[in-house]
Amino acid sequence: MSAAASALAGGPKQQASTDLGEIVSRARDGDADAWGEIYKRHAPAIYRFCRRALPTREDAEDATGEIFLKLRDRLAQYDPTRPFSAWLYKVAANHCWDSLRRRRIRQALETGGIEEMPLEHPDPGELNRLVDQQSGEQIRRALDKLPARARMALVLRYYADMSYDEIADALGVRRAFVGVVLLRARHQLREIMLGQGRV
Amino acid sequence: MNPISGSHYDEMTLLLFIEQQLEEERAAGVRAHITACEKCRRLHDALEGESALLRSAMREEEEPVPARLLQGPGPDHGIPWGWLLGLGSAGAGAYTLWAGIFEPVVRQAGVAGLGQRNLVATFLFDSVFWKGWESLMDFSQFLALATLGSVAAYFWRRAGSRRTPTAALLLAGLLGLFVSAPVAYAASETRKGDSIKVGESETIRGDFFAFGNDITIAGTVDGDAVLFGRAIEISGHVKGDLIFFGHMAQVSGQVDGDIRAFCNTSTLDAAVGKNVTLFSEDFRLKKKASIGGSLTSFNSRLSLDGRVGRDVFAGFNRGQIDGFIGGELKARGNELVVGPDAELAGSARFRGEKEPTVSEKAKLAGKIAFERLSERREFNAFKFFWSQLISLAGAMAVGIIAVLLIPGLFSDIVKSAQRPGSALGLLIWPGLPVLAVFVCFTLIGIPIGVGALMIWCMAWYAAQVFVGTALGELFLGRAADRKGLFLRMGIGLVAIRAVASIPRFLETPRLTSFLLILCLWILIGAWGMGAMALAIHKRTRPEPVF
Repeated sequence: MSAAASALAGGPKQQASTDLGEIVSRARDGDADAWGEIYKRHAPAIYRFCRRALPTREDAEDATGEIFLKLRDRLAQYDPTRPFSAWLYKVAANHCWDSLRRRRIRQALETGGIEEMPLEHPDPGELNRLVDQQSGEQIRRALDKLPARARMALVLRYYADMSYDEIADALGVRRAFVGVVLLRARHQLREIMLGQGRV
Repeated sequence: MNPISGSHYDEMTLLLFIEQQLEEERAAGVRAHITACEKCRRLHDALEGESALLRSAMREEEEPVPARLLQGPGPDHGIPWGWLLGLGSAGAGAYTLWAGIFEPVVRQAGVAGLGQRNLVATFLFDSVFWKGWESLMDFSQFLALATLGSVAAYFWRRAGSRRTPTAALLLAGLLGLFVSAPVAYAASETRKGDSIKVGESETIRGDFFAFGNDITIAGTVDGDAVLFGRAIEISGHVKGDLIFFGHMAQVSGQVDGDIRAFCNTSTLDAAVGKNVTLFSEDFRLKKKASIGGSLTSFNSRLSLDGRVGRDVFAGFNRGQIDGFIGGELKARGNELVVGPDAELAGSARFRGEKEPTVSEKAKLAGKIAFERLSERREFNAFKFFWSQLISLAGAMAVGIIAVLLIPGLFSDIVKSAQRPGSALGLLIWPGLPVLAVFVCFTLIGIPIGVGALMIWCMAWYAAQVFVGTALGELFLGRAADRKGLFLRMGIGLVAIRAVASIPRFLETPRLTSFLLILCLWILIGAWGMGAMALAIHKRTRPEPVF
């Protein structure tokens, strides 16, 4: 998930990356100031990630705090050869998805119907019109109305830039179905946006 | 794969192409096709536009990050002072609770006829209701097991299991309860009906359970007898314990074990082998009656004309003693009269509003020590604050354990406590015990009913922790980390105790003060139970995936 690292750290430069490596290393050795620095750098992005993935602002605030508690506990498990942001988002994604799962999301539907995605070729003109008419706020409002898994899949892919492998791991689906989950989520989003437009 | 229908690629393939998820050979085919096919190229572009829109919409910072998150986690000094202080005070509180309250009560219970057993254990675990737990026998063993289980669950979570063990533990506990429950009914006989009678020549093998209007035992019960009825009459022989709940009871036969009862009017004219524990409006121990062990009774009117082999521990409005007490007498009440036929072999102490009236003919081992209970209490500031500190430490310990074991649920309950829906607790607080008592009246429902009552008691106690944390967050805002959470919990719990102390400092009459404080704790219990119900509902509510 190198893309996530770069996209979400706000355009990392070589110097910043080197700094981050040192800071993480110091935090692993128990340096409280280093940990504070990691928190300051990443907490806003993680909060926004949680805000997109979870139903309410309060949920996102709580989840951000809990994720950083987990991160501090697990810092020793971090493999420094991998991008720190990737690891951070993996922990955050797992936490958010666990949080949603604990609310008894129906597991029977986890992969149900996934293979039945019809092979369609929608009208590009209609899709273009829909995309052109929507503002960011309308998209976010529609996202909030999506079922948990669909929203989570879109957030992992288009906010956190996670790879299909990582999304499959986080959502507990086979990698081959990630594309279907994403496309189905986009269809649902379009339906909601069309509904909003009619209203 | 070729384009569908031999002419165009489907949306799925184009999306995978955009997302660079196709194998190179297949991607090359798609690339070549969209160059030539306008319809597929337009769909490709539209999908790309949609992806870009999704990315930008999600990354727009339309609302600020909460200030408390930006403040950061705060410096970590390496030494968890908060933890040390919390656990230290909890430990000190636990020790003081034991040394200052439980141990004397246990000693007192021994004096009062509950043997050398723990009072709580006797009530909860040593009755026929709970025979399946007899192997535990002792409340401290139960606590030790519960603590071990809690620690194990905590380490299980820390070991990285992503599936919370709470549900599994709860399930295991309930399973254990139901597996153990049938033991209570092994070798027992149950009768239900308007009028139930065990005839003179009849012998019940094992324990006997009866639910009826009029219950008469003229024959023999080989085991324990547990009776729920309006009018109860025992003229036969109960070889085990006798436990009854009724309106009017007359026991004139023989009971080899203990008697434990809740009854409006009770008359005992029997030979009881062991001890008697009785809650009754009126209680009379008749002249010919004898209790081999001790008597513990709480009544409005007590008349003790018979013989008690060991100690008497009694609370009453008016008490009259005209019989024999082999051990100590410890009584508390409004008025005590010691008649001419009374014989007290041990020391006697009475705490009441009036000095006891003692007949000159009464045979006493010594003067009855009298302590007058005044309407206005003497306020001992040190004792008061120390007891508050202990109570606070206990509640904090429960809160800390709850946060460690069920952080997610804890957070949900606290959030629910900040919502108006938690007023639902005003129905749950009175409703659950009423329901539990009704369930108890069916035989199979006894373990469920008793279990529900125990859960209700625990929930009432735990409610202060959730309500306290919610109040703390109301004062200081949401906590960013656990230290902050514990700080808010502590502040909230202190605030609750501060409000509960107001009647004491205003020196309101005792009854008014008691009622005010009770109302406050009922309100907190209802509030917390409502929050728990909401949080559990939230977690068990199914959400659609697709």
